[in-house]
Amino acid sequence: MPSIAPDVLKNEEAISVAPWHSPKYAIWGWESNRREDIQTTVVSWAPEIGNGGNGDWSAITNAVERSMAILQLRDDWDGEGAQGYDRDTWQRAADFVLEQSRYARDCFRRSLGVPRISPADDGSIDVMWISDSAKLLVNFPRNSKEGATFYGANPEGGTVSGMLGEKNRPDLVLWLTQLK
Amino acid sequence: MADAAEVVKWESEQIPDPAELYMRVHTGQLPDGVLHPGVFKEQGDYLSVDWEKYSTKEESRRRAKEPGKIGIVTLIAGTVRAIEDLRVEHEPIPLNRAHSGIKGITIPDGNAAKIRKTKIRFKLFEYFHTFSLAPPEAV
Repeated sequence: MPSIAPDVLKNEEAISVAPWHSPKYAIWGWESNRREDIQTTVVSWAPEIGNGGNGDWSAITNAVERSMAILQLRDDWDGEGAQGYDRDTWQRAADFVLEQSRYARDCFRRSLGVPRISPADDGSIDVMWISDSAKLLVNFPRNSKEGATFYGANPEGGTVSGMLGEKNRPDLVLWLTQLK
Repeated sequence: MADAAEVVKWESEQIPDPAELYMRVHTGQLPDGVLHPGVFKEQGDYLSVDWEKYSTKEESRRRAKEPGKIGIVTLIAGTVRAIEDLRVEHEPIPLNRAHSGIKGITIPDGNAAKIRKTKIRFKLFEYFHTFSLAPPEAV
């Protein structure tokens, strides 16, 4: 974990036990079909989470919540044999978005902006950040053992690519925040 | 007299670089109504498209099972070919002379191939990210 300012630490501890950030809770919320509980939890945490762009943080968490609609796409949802999407895949993508966004906010006092979280092929899920100065695409395969891949580019011709590996990627956060 | 059930076999042709290719996108792929790299989705080992020489955008849409939920994204053959080593090949089928495929997105073997695929989808989206024919039904 990166070092964080003391005034953020208190909220950081709260976040670590926040039900929203728990995969178990997210699954419970979905199975119970109590989406309003998930949304309420996210909104209630937002004002308590630091000062680095509350509006942005709310927009990010709202985007993550809306992306749960991907899970409604079951096998053959298009009538042409397309594969459906599962909670584990979505959770990995959601966790990554929240982790990197929080890291950018806490360590750089910057916002990564609101990513697009979208269904891709073979049951995989994409996360894409787009700004005027940088774009980054991360793909989370259905099989978690395969590992996520990423590719990014900027208008100057700079690129970044590879396997995601570790859950936290401060280098990718730096890539996105440096160029905004 | 020709047999009414005789299947027409079209000859494959070379698709020129300036040619337009029509790709169908189902609105089910668009949870928030916006195009994204995931719409470049293969069926088997190729990305299915229709060649403009033998199809209009509307005709391409009507070939889908749910035409009311289909939008069309127009790709340019030469631009596609310039991405890594993708191939654009005309492969007519009896019911669709325009049928063609973009091949080479997925290749076997290892992490490098997976990273390459993500790069390809990134670039396809960078070049082609708007509907040339919007879905008739609101997302």
